Amino acid sequence: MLYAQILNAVMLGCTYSLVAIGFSLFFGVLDTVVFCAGDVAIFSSFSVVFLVQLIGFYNIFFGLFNPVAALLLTVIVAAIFTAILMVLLYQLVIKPFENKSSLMPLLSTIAAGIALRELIGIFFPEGRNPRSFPELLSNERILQELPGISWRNAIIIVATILIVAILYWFINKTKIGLSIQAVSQNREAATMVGINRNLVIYVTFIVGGLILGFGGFLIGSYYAVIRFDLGAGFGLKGFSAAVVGGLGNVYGAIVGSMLIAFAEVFVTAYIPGGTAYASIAAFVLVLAFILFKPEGVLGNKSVEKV
Amino acid sequence: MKKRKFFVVCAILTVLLIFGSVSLYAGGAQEEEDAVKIAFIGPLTGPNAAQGVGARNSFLMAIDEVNNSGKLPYTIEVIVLDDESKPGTAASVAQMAVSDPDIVAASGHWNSPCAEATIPIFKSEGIPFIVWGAISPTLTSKENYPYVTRVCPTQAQENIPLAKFAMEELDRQRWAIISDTSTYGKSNTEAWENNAKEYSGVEIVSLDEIQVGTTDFRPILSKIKNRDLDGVYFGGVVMEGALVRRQMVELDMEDTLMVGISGIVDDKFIETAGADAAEGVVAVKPGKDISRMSGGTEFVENYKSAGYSEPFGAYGPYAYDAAKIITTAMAKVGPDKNKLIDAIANIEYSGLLGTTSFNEFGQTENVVSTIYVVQDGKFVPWYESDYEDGSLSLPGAD
Repeated sequence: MLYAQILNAVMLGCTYSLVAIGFSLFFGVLDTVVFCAGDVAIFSSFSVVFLVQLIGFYNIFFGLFNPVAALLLTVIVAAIFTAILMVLLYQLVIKPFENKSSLMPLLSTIAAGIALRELIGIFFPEGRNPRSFPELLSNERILQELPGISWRNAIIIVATILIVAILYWFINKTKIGLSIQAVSQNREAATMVGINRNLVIYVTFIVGGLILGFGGFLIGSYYAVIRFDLGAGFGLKGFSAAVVGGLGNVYGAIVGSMLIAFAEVFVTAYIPGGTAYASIAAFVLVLAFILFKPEGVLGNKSVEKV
Repeated sequence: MKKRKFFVVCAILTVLLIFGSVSLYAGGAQEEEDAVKIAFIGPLTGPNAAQGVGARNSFLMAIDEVNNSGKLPYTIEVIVLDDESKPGTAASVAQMAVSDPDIVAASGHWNSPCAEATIPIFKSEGIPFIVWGAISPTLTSKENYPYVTRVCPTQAQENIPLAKFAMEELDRQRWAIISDTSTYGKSNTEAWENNAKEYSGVEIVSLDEIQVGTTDFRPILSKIKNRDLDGVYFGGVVMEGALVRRQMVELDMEDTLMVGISGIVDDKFIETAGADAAEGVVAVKPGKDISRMSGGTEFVENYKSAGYSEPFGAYGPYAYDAAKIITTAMAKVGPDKNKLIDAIANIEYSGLLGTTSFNEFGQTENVVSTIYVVQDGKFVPWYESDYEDGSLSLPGAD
């Protein structure tokens, strides 16, 4: 059972971590929490459903190419939708509050999340009902001897690692990535050395949108059933994970996600009657970090500037 | 001059009004001897109008039948009131009803919040009240007894026939419970546990409560997987139910039976869980096909020939029996609301739904329900399914 539960926890951690990375990325660059990340990820899940089931996008390309190409194309288009949405959200609800109190974008993104959720509920056909997510990743086992490792689970884990690796390369090895780091470390200095801050912000939102887009696809694939209001839950868990790992640190986001997922799964599995307290355990963990190690597992201890 | 004329007109009008109302009142008083009134309340407009209108028609039909039979020395008049599914409206129409001294009994509501709003009003006026369609368990209680009785089962009572079916007919003994922490889930789980304990040898192996909105049940399922279960009981609704079943199959638990309550009896459950995964899931739903009720075909014919255009709906038979219970009690003790209270609470009435009698809370002990099983992507009544005659077998059957 331990093996199965560890696997459960790792999978759960993967579904949290891409949302958590979104939180960390935005916080790093903008110093503000973009609270609608969970809803944006679920928007992506619905985009996939839209592409596959409603307009048959996947099937059309399935005929032209092989299934892998059709799948990749579908997911990429959905992720691009999500990136566009993210940029729109930046324009509409974050940019107007740029030089105001950081509470403003916090509130406006919470509001945007609610609006997004309800709009999916209203405008997606039968949007308020639970909806089955197309089984694009096979649920067959890879090896008969290895229970629990289906193609889907393996792809989710590999994709999460891959996305993080690409992100690492992007942030540390490309010019624009280094600019993102520069802006996130010191906004004024970055502007002084000639970094186009606006461009950096847009790129961050596009990259964040793409990550949330892939995240939404993986979440949908893992649960196979989605509903318009799932984003709120994933947003909260993702944010908690980002805080535990250290807000602003994308690797911390992964560590935080795993910690929270392991806490939830093991409380459910090994404490009698613990299931009802699984989420509480996760949030107690967050509380403990805020109290005793507010910078998180991997966050930098920032010295308050006076 | 003009002013004076105006005064005269006003005076005449006032006099007319006073006399008019007096004569109206006198008229009312005269009729009092033979006017017996019953109030019917239900949602006749608004989102649940279909339920209310079908119930109203059935109720009126029952009263018409009694009036035409001439068994009672007086005619019963039904005052039909519309609660619009809104507790506020319900309370104000109930107030209107109790202000009429001729009303001796009332029956009402499909919406539990409406019933909650009007029950204190009827109770304070000492008018016996039969709930025909609201299912919140708390409506019938020690405090409301004997004023309030209910002919339809509460949302928790459907567990009685489900437990009987699962323990006796299917002979399953080791159960795991997964339920949500909403009032709906909790009350059902409690009812299921209590009912299950009445069967010897039945063991509840585990109980896991999840918040509504939980999506990952794999930790729970991995935990209970190797505990030699005969079945998993799910107390909740479609979304979580579908996820549980889907993830059960994913974790190679497709040979474990899953049973549920009416919250999952919906095509959406099968659609979201996937027809393959949902196959063989058993669930219970209150109500019975009308043709399987005693006198059901006659009821349908009479309803048709009475010329009602709207279908009688799921709660028509309940409203019909509620009306018959009131009139049967009336035949026994007369149209006196004080006597009717006890007469209704202690009645044993055989009608469309079977034999209805009320327990110490005024709740019917007669749970009319149907067991459903998912077969080929559809919820099929058990008696019509291929599982019943053994040509298909349920998950985990020997």
